[in-house]
Formats: sequence, structure tokens, C-alpha cells
Amino acid sequence: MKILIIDDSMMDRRLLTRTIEKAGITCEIIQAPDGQEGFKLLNQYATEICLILLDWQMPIIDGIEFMKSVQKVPLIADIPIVMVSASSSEESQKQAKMVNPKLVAYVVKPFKPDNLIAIILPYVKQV
Amino acid sequence: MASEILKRILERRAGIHLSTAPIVQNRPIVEFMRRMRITSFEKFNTTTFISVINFYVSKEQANKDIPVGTMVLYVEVEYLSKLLHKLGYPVDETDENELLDACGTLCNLIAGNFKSGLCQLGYMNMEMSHFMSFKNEIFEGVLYPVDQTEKCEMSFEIEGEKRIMIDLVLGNIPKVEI
Repeated sequence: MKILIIDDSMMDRRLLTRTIEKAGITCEIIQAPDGQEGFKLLNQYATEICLILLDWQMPIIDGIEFMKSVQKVPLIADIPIVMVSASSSEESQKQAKMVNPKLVAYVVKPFKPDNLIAIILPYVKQV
Repeated sequence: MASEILKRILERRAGIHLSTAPIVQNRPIVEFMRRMRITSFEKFNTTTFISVINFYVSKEQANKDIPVGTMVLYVEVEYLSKLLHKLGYPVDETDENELLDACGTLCNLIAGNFKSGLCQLGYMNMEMSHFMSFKNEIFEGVLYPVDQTEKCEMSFEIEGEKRIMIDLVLGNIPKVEI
């Protein structure tokens, strides 16, 4: 099974990958630098992706537009998404939840590794 | 508030404490063709990485490239990789592209938290641009709120040396009506 990380920052993708690997999670990690590429990977590996870690501010297609697109496709609409964003305001979190009521969690950068792992563990342990 | 946000990120995530309180002063904006001139040579004597993020009141204004705010982060190169390692970012300091990306990531962190801080003060939730990163200067300048003539320059001293600077230009950000 795979975890899809969508973030325009190479550093953040690497940090997320390292955090997951250090926690002993053995899912394969695939990455995309923006929502458009993320959507392509999601369609390509739809049945293998158990979790998506999604940034908000990205070029081409941002996190919000990505979530809107995903919800239009039944095959992928139920894949758990955790938003990982630098925007910590309540308004941002509300907006994300309004766009995607099934959003698993909203994690604010800079995140604490233990917090992130506690959130994602149930979704990767099931596989 | 921006200086407090950087201070908090440094202390809580990297265990870094400033040597002195941040120095904050207003400086005139040097502009050409409605773009703000950006150079690190007036701030640091060594190679410096620069990242820029713009703020917008709406997606429409973002599409028209009309910012209501601009944040510019300057980090001295010798300190940048040390700072990134302390923040937990696995960066290859010999790879300039990684350093540029990492500087932008840090700018994004600061800008995102700053934007949220403004929301808590009753201002609207702004749109943010993707970060752009450069080395030493930005020849073509950057977009900024052109109705502003001054920028707020913040200087951060760590281990007795000036290591990080932020320029911030803010226009009129609407408050949220209750």
C-alpha cells in the first residue's frame, strides 16, 4: 500500500517521508509537487493509496481545489486525507473542513512528528 | 507580530534563542516599474538566500497579481543549513536547489503563521502565493502593495551575529465584519 504526499516544498515532502519511515511505517511513499500531479498519481494508484498527506498552498492546483476534485470521483473520494499546512487559523481549518467534511485531520506546520504519526497510524495500520 | 512568530518557531521547533530582541525599523521602499527592489547586499556581507511570499485579499486579486502584502525572508547561507537541520529538515547543504527550497519552506512557515495571527486579530483570511527563492538579489524586483512607500525591516541576531532578516510590506487588509 502507498501513502501519497502532495506538497510543493521538496523539504517538506522529505521531512514527512523521513518522519513516516522513522516511525517504522512500511507503506511505499509516493510524492507530487502540486495538486495536478497529485491527482494524476491518485488516479494511477487509486486502489493502492491508503492515505494522502496534502499541503494547502501549492501552484497550479492547491490543496482546496484538489480536495474538491477528489470528491467528484467516487472511486477516490473516500481515501483518507490529512491536510498539513502552515496556516494555523481557525478560518483556514473551517474552510478545509467545509470543502471536505471527511477530512481526517488538519495538522499545522511546523508539526510535531509524534502528533502526526498518532494521527496517521490508524489509517496505515489497517493495511 | 511577524518577529514574534519567527522567534516562536526558532525557540519551540529548533531550540534556538535570539541573542537580543529583534530590531524593527521602517525603511523606504526602493521601487522600479512598480516592483520593489530586493538585494541582500545592503543587509549581509555574505551569500544570502532570499524567499518571497505575497498575500492577497482574494483569489481574483491573486490572479491579477495585485498583492495586499509582501514578505521577504533573508537568511545568511552559512547559517541556513544549520538552522534547517535544527528545524528537522534533512537538507544537503551542498545542493543549492535544496537550500533555495528550504529557505522558501521556512518563509512559507513564517508567512502562514503570520497570516493566521492576523486572522486572530480580526483581519480577513488572506490568500498566499507560492514561495519564490533566489540567491543574493532579485534582479526584476518583486510585486508589492504599490500604495505603500515604506517597509518594516526586522533583524534577528543569533549567537551574537545577524543571521536572519525579514522585510514586510502590508497594505490595507480588510477586517472581518462580525
